[in-house]
Amino acid sequence: MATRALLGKDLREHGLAALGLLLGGFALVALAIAQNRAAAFSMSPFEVVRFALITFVPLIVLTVGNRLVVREYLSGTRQFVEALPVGTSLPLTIKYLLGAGFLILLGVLLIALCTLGSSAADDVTAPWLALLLAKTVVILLLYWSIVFCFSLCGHLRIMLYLSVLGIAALIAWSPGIDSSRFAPFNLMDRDLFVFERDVVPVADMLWTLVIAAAFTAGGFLIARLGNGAVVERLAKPMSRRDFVVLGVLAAAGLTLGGLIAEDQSRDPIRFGTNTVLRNIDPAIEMYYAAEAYRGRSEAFMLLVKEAEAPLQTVLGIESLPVVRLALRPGREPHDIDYGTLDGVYVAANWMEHDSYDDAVLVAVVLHGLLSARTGGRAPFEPHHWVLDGFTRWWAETLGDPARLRNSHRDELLARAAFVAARLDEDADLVSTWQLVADRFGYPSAEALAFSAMHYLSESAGSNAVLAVGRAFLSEPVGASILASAADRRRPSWQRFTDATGISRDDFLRGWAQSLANATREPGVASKLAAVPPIEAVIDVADDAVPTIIAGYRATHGSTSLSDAYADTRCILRHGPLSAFDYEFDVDDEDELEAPCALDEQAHTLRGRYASGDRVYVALEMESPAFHQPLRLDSRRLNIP
Amino acid sequence: MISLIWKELRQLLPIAWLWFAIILIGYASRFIGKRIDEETFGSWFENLLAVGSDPMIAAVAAVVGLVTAWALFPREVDDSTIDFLRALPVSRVSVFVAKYIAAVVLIAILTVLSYGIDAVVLAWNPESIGGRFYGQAFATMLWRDIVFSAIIVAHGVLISWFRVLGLVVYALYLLGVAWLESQAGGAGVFSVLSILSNEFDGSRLVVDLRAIVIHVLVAFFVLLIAYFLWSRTPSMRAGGKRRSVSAKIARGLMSLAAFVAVGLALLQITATENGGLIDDSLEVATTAHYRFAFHPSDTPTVEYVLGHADDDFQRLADLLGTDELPRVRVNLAAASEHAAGLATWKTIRMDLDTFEADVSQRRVLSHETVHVMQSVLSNRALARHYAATRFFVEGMAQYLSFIVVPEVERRASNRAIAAVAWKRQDIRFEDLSDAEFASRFDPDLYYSLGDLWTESFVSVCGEAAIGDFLRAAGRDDVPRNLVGPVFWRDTLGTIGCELEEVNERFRTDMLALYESTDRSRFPRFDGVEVTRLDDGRVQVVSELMGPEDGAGDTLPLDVNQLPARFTIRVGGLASLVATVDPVFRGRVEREGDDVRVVYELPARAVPRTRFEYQLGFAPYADSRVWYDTRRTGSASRPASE
Repeated sequence: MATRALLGKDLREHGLAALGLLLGGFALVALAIAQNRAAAFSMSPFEVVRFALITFVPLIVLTVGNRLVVREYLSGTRQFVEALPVGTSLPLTIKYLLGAGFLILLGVLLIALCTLGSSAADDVTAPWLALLLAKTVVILLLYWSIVFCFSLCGHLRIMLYLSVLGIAALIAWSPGIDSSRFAPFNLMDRDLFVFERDVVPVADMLWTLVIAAAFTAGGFLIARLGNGAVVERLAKPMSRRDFVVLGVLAAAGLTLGGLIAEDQSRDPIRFGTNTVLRNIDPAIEMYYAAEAYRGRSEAFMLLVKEAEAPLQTVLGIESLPVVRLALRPGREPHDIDYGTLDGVYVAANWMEHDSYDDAVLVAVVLHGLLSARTGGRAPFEPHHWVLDGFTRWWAETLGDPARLRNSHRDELLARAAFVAARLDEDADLVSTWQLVADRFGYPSAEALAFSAMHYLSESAGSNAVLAVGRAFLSEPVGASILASAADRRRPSWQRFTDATGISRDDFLRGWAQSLANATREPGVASKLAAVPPIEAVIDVADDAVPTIIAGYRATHGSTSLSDAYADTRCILRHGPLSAFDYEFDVDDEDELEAPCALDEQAHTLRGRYASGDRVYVALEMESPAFHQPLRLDSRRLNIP
Repeated sequence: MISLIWKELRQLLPIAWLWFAIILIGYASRFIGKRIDEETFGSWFENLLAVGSDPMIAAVAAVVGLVTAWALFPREVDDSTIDFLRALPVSRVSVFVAKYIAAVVLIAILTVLSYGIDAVVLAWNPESIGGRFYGQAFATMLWRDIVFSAIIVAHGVLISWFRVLGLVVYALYLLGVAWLESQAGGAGVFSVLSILSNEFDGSRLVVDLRAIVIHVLVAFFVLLIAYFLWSRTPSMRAGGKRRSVSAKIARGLMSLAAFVAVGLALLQITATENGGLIDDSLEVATTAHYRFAFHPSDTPTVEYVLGHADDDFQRLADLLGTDELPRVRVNLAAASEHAAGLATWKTIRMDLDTFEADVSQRRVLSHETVHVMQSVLSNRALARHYAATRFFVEGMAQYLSFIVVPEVERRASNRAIAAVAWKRQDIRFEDLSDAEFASRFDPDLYYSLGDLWTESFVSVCGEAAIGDFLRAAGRDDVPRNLVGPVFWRDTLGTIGCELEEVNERFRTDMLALYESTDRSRFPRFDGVEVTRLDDGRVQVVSELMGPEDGAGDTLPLDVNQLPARFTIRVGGLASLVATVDPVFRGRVEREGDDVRVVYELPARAVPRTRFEYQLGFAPYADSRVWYDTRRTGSASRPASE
């Protein structure tokens, strides 16, 4: 009798809303089926079942919980019911069963509508429909149990819902977590939920039901604890203390999540073929493609080994990541792939390299090693000049300046002097490194950094360079705001001065003077003389078709170039930029070549970019005097 | 009025704390896992400032607006506290406006707070390029987000009067927008989400002012209706309950009629497309491995396909080295302008109108069957690494299906297209396995370049390697968190095959193929001009240049060897559903020796000023289309708009 009366009360109170929800659900499912029919990649109207379960059905379940449980428990009207001689469990049980029954009805309606929208192609069979319905009911019971339990938690429920949502998102999207190992997620698998007809996921369904049962039991437990005192307390507005406790729990949860997400360390994957050279300490692997390339590859591997082995000692680094080098015989000598996702991986063609090219590539390997060592912090602008300068200096000298080849020195200093002459007087290695590299290219920026280290070595000895390396490149930097703050506590120049005992101003003044002196040395001067006396002109024509015009004009007022530059090629390189700037280097995919001549319209790029685009345009020259292209200038353009 | 707004703000404090807590948790999670002083303006706002609109971001903003709006009236009416307000010597309009303004002010304060934190974070980056701050984009986002929230709050105030029914109607609106997108490619200003659509002129963020104006006007109208309803709704204590029962019944009946009408109308739509609620016109045939459903009119083709289906199936299984043979359901009655076939788990759908020749239908079935076997053998591992393996997923299906069902000419033309694209666009394995491949190159290259890469893979690693790769990818102990390149090395390492060797073989094979391809059928586009015509259509005109020779120099254009047809593919406009980019035909115009291709796009394809597109052509009759790299076009709206 009491059961009937309670059931009747709830039905009277919520019947209309339940009907509204069913009708609303009906309309949503019908629209979803229509959308599914028109969608480009849909396979079956039954996909709507899963779509509904992960989109609007949870909202309906929340609404049901809100009406059946929350309203009565928050407003305290449950006390009128509990005052009746029916106990506390019966009204709650009836509410639970009513909610579950309604949702199962919704599930049946959902599948029935999809069946109506299906065709013979969907092969609708009774066993398959039963399987689909069983999965749907299990998921609905899970939803309902969670909502039922949390609905009894008063004002705390919002936080609990957010937590569940956060955990679900973490499981679903965190790359470190295999969501298929969690029964409800595996049950809701994108492919299997609808399209698997033969295998009944008994284990997943049972585990999901166990979770649902746990939440249900939790709900009843909360309702009965202290004769309802807990529920009553939870129904009151949360105090500041509650918020603090929740804040601490949330922070702990986030930290734990962060740790789980970061715990992805594992051994790098080795090359798996016969054409591989291996060195154990330091750990280096080299894929050399074919026996014909073995000799040259062994020689290059020796260079890498010689550079890496002592570096660990002089910088005081306990371990370095594995280096894997892959030969790509068809590539241009300076076409290098580089990555630090899995140890240090460098792919290049070293078959045609001379000693200068080898040094470039060894510096790239060291760049990767120290970048990985610092957790990716070394390429951050305030440190980047040290990374570039130190790795190149080390690749050239191995810490002994006497090993530096004159030809390398001349070329590097000539590049550096070329750049320095075009920089503002107040340009600072620390704060404008990206601008320098952006305008003159990475080879020239590296040469500039090398010249700084070279000057430091000559003026204060090799130990000063090593001290700078240790100060900037030896310590791992974590990945958090605290790690950033700790790393930024000591400004870069302060760190430099602490390591060398030389002040910023003294160093910059001395370095600039040393570069000026170097330009008077015959070796450096001859390299600089190979650069035509031209400067780059880059403009956008005001035309119906957006046109980029670039060329060269004389730096000293002459009207023609001598035959001395006949071997020099002038090249325009360009690439699209995103709306907002970041470090970028144009590749050689898009380039226009022209003779190096005094022609301000040597390169015309018509209709390649549209109004509103942002484009990077660089003008470079390639000369036998330089191993790598020398960038004359570049600009980031807005196409009007 | 000010006092009323203050009172409402105080009343909204609990919800303000909730949003504040969520904002803080959001920032805390970003601060824990990143060195935020390395964040650039572009990386920090990567999603917010992506071109177009992101439905997830819009959904979050909409939920905040709707929940805040929900806190304004329903509770006051249910608890009858609205009577206290009505007893004050202020008009009901003032009460209504104060509540609305308070909600908007609250969201505005939270938005400013959130953007303030963003500004502080970005100011911490000292880099000369990465640390640049874009004030115009920042300020524009700020005011646009506030306007969007104000519009959503207006919607929320109205739908909260209808309670759950209102939410359902709102969900219907969003599904309607999704349906419109899938039908027309985009929902235009019908979608309130279009307000959040991003377009850039250089670094300047350009908002869709037309959409904003329209939706602000709609919101104003919505507020008027909401005021009319809420101001006439008595509180529970003031007799609202008794009257609300009748109102509820009336509303329930109206809802019933509306829902039934909408539902039946929608089912009718689906039925019309499908030829009946249960399409009895389809016939069913089964073989040992397949169940086919098809239109009787396709019987000759189906008979041919059926005649070979099981043998082809067995051959594929042999090539993959498996005796685990799933039963596959095939819908041959599907209509799709987007794909000849689709496969999900053990289900295939094919559009028999895509190809003329029966042998092509048979090969498509083999192609899709390979996808089914990929899923089963790899335990869906390739789907988990879809971005990194998509070219192999499609390439393997092409490779095996062409072995089982040879279509020599089709394969040759596909490969020629792939070779020219590979060379001209310098496509490498790192590009093929990059998630951005489809947005940088032609997605159809997944098939042809994938076919060629698979061939190189087989020639280096052996015939059995394909099946071995699938089984290795699906093994239980494979780490699930591998990034793409590492997944490749891990899986290939497991089967004793070296990626470097495969890639080197691929490079030499591709070079040889490129050298042997007749490139006279592959002209190049240059000097592209984009103009908005007076009637709103957009005209794209490109000069046609000759192909390159071996040294990279341009050869004269052979006007007798022009491609069979020219097409242009315009970037998709949908934000809620996955659609396929619309394609339009072009025409060739000649003026002396100059050859131009003219494309005309309907106005709906370019609803705003800027758009992405790819120019292309089919080099041979009945071949796939070769697409050039993606470009951006700019066509101002006509002055009349």
